[in-house]
Amino acid sequence: MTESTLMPDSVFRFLLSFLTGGLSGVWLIHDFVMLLRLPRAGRDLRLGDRRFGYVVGVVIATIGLVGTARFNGLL
Amino acid sequence: MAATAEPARTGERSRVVSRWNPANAVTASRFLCLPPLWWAVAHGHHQYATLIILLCGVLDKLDGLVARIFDCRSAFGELFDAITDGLCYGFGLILVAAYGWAPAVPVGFVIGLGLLNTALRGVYIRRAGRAVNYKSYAMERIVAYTGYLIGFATGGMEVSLFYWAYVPLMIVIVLHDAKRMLIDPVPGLGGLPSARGTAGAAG
Repeated sequence: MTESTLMPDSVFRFLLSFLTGGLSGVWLIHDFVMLLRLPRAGRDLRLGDRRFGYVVGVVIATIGLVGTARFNGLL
Repeated sequence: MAATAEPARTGERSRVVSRWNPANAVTASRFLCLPPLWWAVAHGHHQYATLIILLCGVLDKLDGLVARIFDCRSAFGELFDAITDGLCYGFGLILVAAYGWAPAVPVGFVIGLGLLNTALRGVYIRRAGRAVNYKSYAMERIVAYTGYLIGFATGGMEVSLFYWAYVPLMIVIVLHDAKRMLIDPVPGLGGLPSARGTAGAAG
């Protein structure tokens, strides 16, 4: 079966890279900054939840950037 | 048809919001993405499938915006959005795995861990003795990742990496949230971290 396409494959790959890498980059900066801004002292559980969430965000964004780099043959 | 209504989640005001509101209509419209997604995957149209799942994701973000614009935020809207997230993303993941576009084992983990998380939230509600949502910053982030997973499969973008990287991350998050929901004390109503978005939040 022939695949019906909306755009050339190169454009499609660029859009995928832009949507993934672009969002991952913004997300990485956002969550990293938010993580640095959190108060370090105290054992507030809600603060701990936020810290854990931002760490997870940084990890996910890093995975997104690595995946985008691999997709484009950079890694 | 009788309009079911409930108090709006607008802070101090006591206002009734019909369940038949624009935000819930946008949420419901996401189900319309599923038949064309199935068609696109079944016929091997990667680009169409990616476009459709992208549209589904945009609608997910749009319903929260519509809820704010029309001031129709409600607990039902949050629940309906969470259920729609689960059904749409679950259907999409099963679809891409069934047609061999994504590895079945991590997809099984994704769905299984999602169901486990849902069950834990049920236990948390029972502990709290009221309908409360456990806001998890980490889970919100992994839910966004879940939406992307379907797009990675339809777009053929580093599928193995993204799917297998997801599994350990989700396991750690579920364990963390399980401790918070099952062991740690339930915060009082005033101290609840309930700043979850409107119909557009997840996690």
